[in-house]
Amino acid sequence: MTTLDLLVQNLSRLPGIGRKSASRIAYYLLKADRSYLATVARQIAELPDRIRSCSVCGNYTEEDPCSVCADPRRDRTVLCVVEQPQDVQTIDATNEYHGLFHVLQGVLSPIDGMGPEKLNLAGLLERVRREGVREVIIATNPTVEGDTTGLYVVRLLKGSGVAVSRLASGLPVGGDLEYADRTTLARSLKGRTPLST
Amino acid sequence: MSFRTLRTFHYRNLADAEIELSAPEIFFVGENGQGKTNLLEAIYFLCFGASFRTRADSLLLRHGEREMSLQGAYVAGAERGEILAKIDGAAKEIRLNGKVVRDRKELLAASPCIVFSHDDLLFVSGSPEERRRFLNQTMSLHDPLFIDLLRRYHRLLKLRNAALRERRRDLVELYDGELAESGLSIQERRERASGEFNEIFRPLFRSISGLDGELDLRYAPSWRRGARPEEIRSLLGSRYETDCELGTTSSGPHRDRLHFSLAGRDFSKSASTGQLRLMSLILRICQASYFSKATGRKPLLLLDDVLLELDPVRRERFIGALPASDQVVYTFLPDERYAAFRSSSTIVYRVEKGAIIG
Ligand SMILES: [Zn+2]
Repeated sequence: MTTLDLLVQNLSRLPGIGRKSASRIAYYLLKADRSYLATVARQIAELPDRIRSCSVCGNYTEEDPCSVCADPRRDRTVLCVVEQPQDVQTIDATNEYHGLFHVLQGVLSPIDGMGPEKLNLAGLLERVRREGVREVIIATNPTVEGDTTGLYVVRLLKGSGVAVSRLASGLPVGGDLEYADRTTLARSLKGRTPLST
Repeated sequence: MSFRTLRTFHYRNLADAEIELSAPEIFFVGENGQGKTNLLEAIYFLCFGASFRTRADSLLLRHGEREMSLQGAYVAGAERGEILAKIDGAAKEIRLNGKVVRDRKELLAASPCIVFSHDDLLFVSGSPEERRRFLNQTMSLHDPLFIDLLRRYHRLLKLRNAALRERRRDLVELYDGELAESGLSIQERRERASGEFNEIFRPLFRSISGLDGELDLRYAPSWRRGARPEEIRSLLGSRYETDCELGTTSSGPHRDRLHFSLAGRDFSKSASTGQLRLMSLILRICQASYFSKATGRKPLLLLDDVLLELDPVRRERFIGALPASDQVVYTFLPDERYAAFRSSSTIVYRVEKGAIIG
């Protein structure tokens, strides 16, 4: 295999990139100027060293704690529980939410060997107990796994005294938060349904 | 709906072609293996984004090719549209009027078709799973929400079964409640649909078959009729150990059964092959009628070699009972007396070695 073939093969592993796009990108890179190539290569190589998980919420960050957790203007009594770090950005971009986040780092899926012990649930309980949280909003994706994970969290928080609500209405069934448009997301944040705990 | 043209490229054994289909009836006439059923399959593929003969899309590629495409221009009521289906290696892309279809159920809104084929025999004499497939299909054709419900249920089932195999009681119980809710919802809908379906099926079967007595499609749910979610949850809970040992969930809509009963007896067991065949054809007619009744739309009908096996009297009754449709596409063997079924507007194509020769 040639260097170019190998590059195409690696690029086509990226999400949303098929073989055709991968080879287009590879040919583009072949013609691009050296400084651009060096910058991109360095940025990619440095990713795992520069960016880590926030020790408080699990969001991606360069500083620990992350800018969301460190922001003094945020309402520290509300926690929004999401599946992945990218969901933090999606919800934040609505400008409808001013509380803090908690990233589970996945969903329950025994098919993929994802049990509760693999999720950041201990951290969630800890925060709820110690940090004066009054409300938890569950914003897992409206998929079967997201729903049941949300339900698991609801049960986990039972008896903890916090109000729990579920962000669900208006989101496309089986969809991803990432792809929900902002108005829909904003609407569902406002109209979140309180669950009895 | 009806198709005006069909274009095939690198598809199965067919020569690349654009085929004119602007007629209420199309006949594809040819010996077996020449490609006439492939043409029906191509139309079906455009309607549903899948084949009725195989789940392996790779079989649709012409031998040695890695790309194929099908394109069809259709008319549905006042609306004209186009469907494009492409397979490139392992990737499949379907476009409806230029827009990529993300979920195959979007196609149902544009272009339902009903296919009559030999395999339909499985609906009446096959495994419980194959019989359920008929009911699921009938309901899904006009109700995308039912598709969502089925998908949700089966996903939950898969998760629960995985949790059973790991003996994760906490997770199993988490899924039990959800499984009960969505399962009962499927059960209720199936109950209602099978009742409505019977209203169409019973009289039609009597008039075409000429048999005495009422033939009933009986729906036998796995869970108790009218059960509440709590009851099902505790049922699931009580079977936890058994289910763990089996490694699978032993009750629920995935275990529902369908029977055909004539005067209280299981007809599938006593019927002749001819009678079973006839029954399967009538089921398809009813499926089409049920769809039309629910939506006010007319489906496209595809009949794959099925007239051959009926005696002349029943053949006539069968054709007379076909529901109103915008288009019917038939396949025939060359020695069948298909001329008797054609009208002045029928297009007849001879299919030989994958090509249309006139
Ligand atoms: Zn943080």
